[in-house]
Amino acid sequence: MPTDTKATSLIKRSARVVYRAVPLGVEQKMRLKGWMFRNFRPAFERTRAYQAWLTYEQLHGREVETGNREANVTTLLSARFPYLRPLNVFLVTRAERRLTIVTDSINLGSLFGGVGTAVALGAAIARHLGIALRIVTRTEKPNQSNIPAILDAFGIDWPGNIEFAFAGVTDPFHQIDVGPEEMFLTTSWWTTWSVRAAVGATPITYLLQEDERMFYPMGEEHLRCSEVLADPDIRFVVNSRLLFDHLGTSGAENVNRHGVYFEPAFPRETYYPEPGRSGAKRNFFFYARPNHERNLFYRGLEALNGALEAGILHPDEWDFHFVGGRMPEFHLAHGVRPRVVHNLPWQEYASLVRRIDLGLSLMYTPHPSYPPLDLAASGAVVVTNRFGNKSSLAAYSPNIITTDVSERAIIDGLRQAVDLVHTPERRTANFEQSGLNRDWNKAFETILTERPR
Amino acid sequence: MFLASTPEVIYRDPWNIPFEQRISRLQTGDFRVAYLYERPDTSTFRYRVYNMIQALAHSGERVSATFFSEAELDDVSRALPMLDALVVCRWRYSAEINRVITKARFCGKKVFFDIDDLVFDTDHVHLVLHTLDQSLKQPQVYDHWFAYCGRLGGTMRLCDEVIVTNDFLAAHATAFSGKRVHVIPNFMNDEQLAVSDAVFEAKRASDFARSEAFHIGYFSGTPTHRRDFRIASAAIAQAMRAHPQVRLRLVGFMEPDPALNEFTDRIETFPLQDFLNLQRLIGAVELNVVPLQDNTFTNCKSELKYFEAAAVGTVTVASPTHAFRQVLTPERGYLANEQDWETVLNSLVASRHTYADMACRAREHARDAYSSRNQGHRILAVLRS
Repeated sequence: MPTDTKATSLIKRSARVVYRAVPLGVEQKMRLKGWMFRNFRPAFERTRAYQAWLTYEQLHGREVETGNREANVTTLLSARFPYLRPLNVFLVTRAERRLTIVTDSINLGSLFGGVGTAVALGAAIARHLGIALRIVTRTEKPNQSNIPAILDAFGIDWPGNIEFAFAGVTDPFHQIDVGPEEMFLTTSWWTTWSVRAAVGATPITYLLQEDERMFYPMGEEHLRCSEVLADPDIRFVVNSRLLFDHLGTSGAENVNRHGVYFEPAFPRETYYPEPGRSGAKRNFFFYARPNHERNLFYRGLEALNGALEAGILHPDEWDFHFVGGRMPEFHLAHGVRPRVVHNLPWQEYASLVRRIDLGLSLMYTPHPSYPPLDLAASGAVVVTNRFGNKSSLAAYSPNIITTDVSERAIIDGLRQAVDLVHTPERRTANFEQSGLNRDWNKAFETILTERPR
Repeated sequence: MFLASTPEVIYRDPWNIPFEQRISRLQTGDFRVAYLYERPDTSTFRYRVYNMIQALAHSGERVSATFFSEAELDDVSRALPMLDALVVCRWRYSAEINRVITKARFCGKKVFFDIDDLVFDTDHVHLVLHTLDQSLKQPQVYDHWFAYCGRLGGTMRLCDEVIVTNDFLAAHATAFSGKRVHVIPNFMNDEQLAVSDAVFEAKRASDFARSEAFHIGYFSGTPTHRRDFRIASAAIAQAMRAHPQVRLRLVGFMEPDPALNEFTDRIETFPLQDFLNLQRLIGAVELNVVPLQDNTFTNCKSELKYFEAAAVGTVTVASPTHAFRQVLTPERGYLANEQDWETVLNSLVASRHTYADMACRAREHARDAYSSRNQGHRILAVLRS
């Protein structure tokens, strides 16, 4: 399989940087994109962005010199949904059964809660069945050395070899071998779709960790995601009772009928309070992902800024840590400049979380999301938002304060949270009354016994 | 890098023996074996023909063995009456080889098919292509490989019994052919051992003296091993990042993986070597890395990368394929799961105080188990079975 030359890689990387940084409007950026794609086609023609642009141009009646024959429906669909193309597999005779986890990436930027849970669940299933384990990634080549730390943090023992393979979404010659009894653990509706298109639904267990329909406006992706959730031949494993119940009451009853749920765990070896030195400032954690709409970065920022302005949080008392994604440099009220961290290795993230006193972590979906639970499991007080049947997370920990999602309500929640931080006896008592699961092996027990096959 | 060095060996193929000499040598023994190989080379021919003949000569029995190539098949046919056994080694089916095998079998001579790779069953062709990173875009690639494997399988089916290198491969040969399958592992010949002994003794005499640089060696540097090398390339890059003294020695014409682009000033590349001078290059490095994909094809491969390194006192880290799981006990070397290469390499670079002991144990094991001086009786037992 031919790989990019150095020149091609450089062009692609430079183009991405320029496109993101150049201060132009959307239409102008589209024209700029078109110019790049027309003049440097060989460097881009295998990318998802190029295929999507090509389809867009053709749909708008603009001719693009591609050297290819006229598109038919199959090629149009393939260009529109490159990540839904069937996983490129070939059958091998293979004596040993194997479970293959299919996920976008296991590299640093992707390796938070959800992916780690998938790896841990996959290892637990494979160990329970006494079969081999493989991880296949679709958008980035796997960094194998990330995995031992994940399994260690989850307390899942896997002493044997794990195979790794990269089956890139856009390259039709990225193949993987499959045995006649291969099992798959998929991690998103699109990986499920892609695997189902290759080997059918029967070998698939789909780990569902969010209502993925909510990633999209009402349209093509939303529709296809809904279709996957409605497939009666797929086995579903759902992260949390909250999400499981939500799906059952929101048009995805099939998931309830053909699925089981588990509650995530937060092992004490990783999640415990690590109080600061005497006299040091307290630590505030904001789960800050500007490019992930459901994390309500801007609403959180409004509320945090409001809390600073109202004197609920004092810059003299608090250090502010914005954790999650890249963002431009800026300051909050009173000139507060947060420390921005992203792409933290797992152990460093856990180490930071252990030192946090108060966290603000918003999730505009039914799943509790991991950061509030990570924080509460490590002794912090947390403010998060209600959504649908996610009305309170106190059952996980009384130190989790759940509010409405208005700016005012979140600021009030921060006020309550600060009071709780200032009442260490109550904070500690709440921590000790936590209902959080602490053992992933126990968390997965039901899955291993109830999940068919 | 180990400081002890030995002079370069002037290499000549040791099997350039004229036909007349080979045919008359064949007549000296009471039990006479002819090995057939299409064209002598330094890989399969060396291990499965030349080394076997040498081992039989060391057996102390009155056995004589030699080899014949494609151009000499008519002579083989004429010589059949004097033979006791015929070993057809990795020979692609043809009318000519069929004729020779047919005559041999009709003359009551047992014919063995010797094969050292899972390349006789077309069921595995796609896996082989994938493992060897062959282009799947060209129809001629399929044509070549299906023909190649089909032809080898065809010759196997003509023979009486099969000889392979390990029991994992044996199970597949049995399932494919339904014939009796014997295992004779690969081993080293006298010439390789002599050079290896000189390299090892120089290292031992210098007390394994080293320079500041720590060398990791990868000695399978052909493009067909790109996927194998990729298993460890990120880990090697990380070791080079963490330890400025680490160097990578690559033998072969494979392009280093992009993961190593930032370290080109610390990568030494050598062209493919003859099998004697290769031992000198292996002997100079601290760590011989053998990353391998884990599948049916790779599990059929032998452990020769271990014993070649062990013979010159170099420690090996290998993926836990079938053969390496058997041989790399904790006293002799290291196994690394795919997810653990980074941890293993980092710990080995940082800690080398037990090196000499392990190197000596591995060397002793390699000389005992993989020397042509110790294999003759085993081979004879198979050929006489």
